Amino acid sequence: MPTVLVPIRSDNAYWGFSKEVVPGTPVAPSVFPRWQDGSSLEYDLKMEEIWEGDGSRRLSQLVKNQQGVKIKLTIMPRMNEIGFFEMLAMGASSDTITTASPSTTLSAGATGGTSTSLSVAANTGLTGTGNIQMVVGQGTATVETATFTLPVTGGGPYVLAVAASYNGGKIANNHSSADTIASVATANTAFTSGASAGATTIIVGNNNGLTGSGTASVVLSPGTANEEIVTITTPGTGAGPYTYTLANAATLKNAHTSGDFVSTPVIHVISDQTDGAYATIEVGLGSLYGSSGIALRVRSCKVESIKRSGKAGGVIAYEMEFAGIASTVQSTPPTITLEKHNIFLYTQGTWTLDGSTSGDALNIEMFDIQQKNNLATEIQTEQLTRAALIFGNLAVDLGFDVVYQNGSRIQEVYFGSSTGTTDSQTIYLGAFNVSFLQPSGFDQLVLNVPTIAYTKVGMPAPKKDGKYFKQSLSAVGTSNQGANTYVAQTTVYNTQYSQN
Amino acid sequence: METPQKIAARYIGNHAVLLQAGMGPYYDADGKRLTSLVLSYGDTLMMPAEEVLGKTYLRQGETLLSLGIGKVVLPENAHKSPEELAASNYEFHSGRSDFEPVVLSVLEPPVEEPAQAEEPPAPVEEPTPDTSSQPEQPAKDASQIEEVQ
Repeated sequence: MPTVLVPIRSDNAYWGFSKEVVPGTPVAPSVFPRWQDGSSLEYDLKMEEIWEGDGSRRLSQLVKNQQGVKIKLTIMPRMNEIGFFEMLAMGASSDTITTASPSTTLSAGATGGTSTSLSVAANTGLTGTGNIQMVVGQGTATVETATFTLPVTGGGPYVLAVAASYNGGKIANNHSSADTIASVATANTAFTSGASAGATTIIVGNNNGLTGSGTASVVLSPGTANEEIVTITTPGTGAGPYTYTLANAATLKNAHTSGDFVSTPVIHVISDQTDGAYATIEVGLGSLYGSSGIALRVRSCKVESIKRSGKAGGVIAYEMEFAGIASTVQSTPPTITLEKHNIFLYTQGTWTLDGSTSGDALNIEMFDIQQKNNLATEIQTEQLTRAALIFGNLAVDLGFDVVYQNGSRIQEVYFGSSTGTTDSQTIYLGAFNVSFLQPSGFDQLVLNVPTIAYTKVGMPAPKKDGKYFKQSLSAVGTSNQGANTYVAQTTVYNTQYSQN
Repeated sequence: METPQKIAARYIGNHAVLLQAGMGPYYDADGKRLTSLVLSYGDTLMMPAEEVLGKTYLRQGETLLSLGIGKVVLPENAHKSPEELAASNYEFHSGRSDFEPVVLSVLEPPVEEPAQAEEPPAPVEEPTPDTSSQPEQPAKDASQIEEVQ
């Protein structure tokens, strides 16, 4: 009797990621980017043929010397995913939150799991009401973003109470006297009255960062199903609580509850470091929906390379390669959760090329910034698997195509300056910066390579079709002989209130 | 793939997420079927226990022996340090960072809402005790496995 095969759809797959808190200890994945074609998992084997003098011309046996995993992922990342993957690519402790006022210092140390308040030196900006999120101990190993309840009390030093909604009302980590404490975002407050869908105003507990004359893009109720991004007119009215009107006669799409947060974006500045954090990567290949494929959890992975790219009219894409140390087969499917934000588009970009927003900065058809961490994958001791992975030398390569306007690029790269007329050994230095800002005015991605050395200008190629000339430019990122503290830097504005 | 043992967990991630369509039905900690795929901070969800609490493997040659949910060691290895356990081929997997177990005492018995009874209700598994926070309860087979604090 003929049987019917049960094939598995090729889109029955998932990629899940998590950061390993303890290197070598796998963590169930919590970041599940929507993958694109080109994503893959392959085993990376080193094999040895054993030829022995047994009087024959036959291969005696094969020995497996090393086994690891290579993973590729292509995605169109959302704002919070970008922070996570950039942190993995740039290295451990690469993520610094740009804090804002109010900012002060601790007047006394605090004990994680015990302290229900912090003693702070100043009360400026901490006299409003409602909750506020602040970064405590930035730059220390115990940095955390905690929620506090305003106003502070006391006559100085002041008592800043940990909100009951945060970690059971207790600070989570130990902090020392004189550690910094600062707002996680420029505007950082909370609803003090609920707001209905259709409302034209919001009422919040403090006016930090919202006192100037103009507008501000803020997220309402981040982390909730009612999250929305709106633009409000500043300054507000009232002496506290403060009332703000939505700009352009807009109305709220969703209802918001008293206590929900209201803030401008959290700004994560992520720069290249000496070594990377380990991640756990789980890949399911035909294992969803009860299918009988396989799911593999790979521990201790690092980013081998990352390419950020885009082309005219398209989407900003990330292509990443990871190397992993060891893997195990998973027996149960994970709970896949997907980020609920928008992708970035090429048309949202504002370009600054070689310090100028004009000239070729307006002529770019496509770009890619490829970063290679050149992992040392040969560290192996008594096991079949690698003992560690470390970042090797950093290589940042840029490529971008411009619509050919004049010959100055050729002169710059080959003749030393835009007015050069003969062969020159001078390397032409420039800079590359592009900022993608979504229409909400909130989600933002900035890719910055502050010093680039041009290595090639593709000469315009004549074609009989009579269309247009284009130039392909190539450059490498440098530290400018050590003058820069980083070669590549990514800044992302999002709703991730703690460091990645 | 095995049908996982499920427990009640609370989402504590920074931003609202979407549960993958087609992987449900999804239930909250009260056993109510979710009508939206949006999961917000503080929402509860029945999910595989190993995703929330982690799990432990013991590598024996080329075989990986599952010791169960949470961090567990065999009695004969209970005295060993974390480094010694790692050298003894223990592999501890942590749970997700964006979920925390719901304390069992606050849970009500699972109830399916009558208004959502058009589709046959999927079986709802009893929430499993948070073995990481209740060390007096055996994680698996108490005669063979002992939890590590």
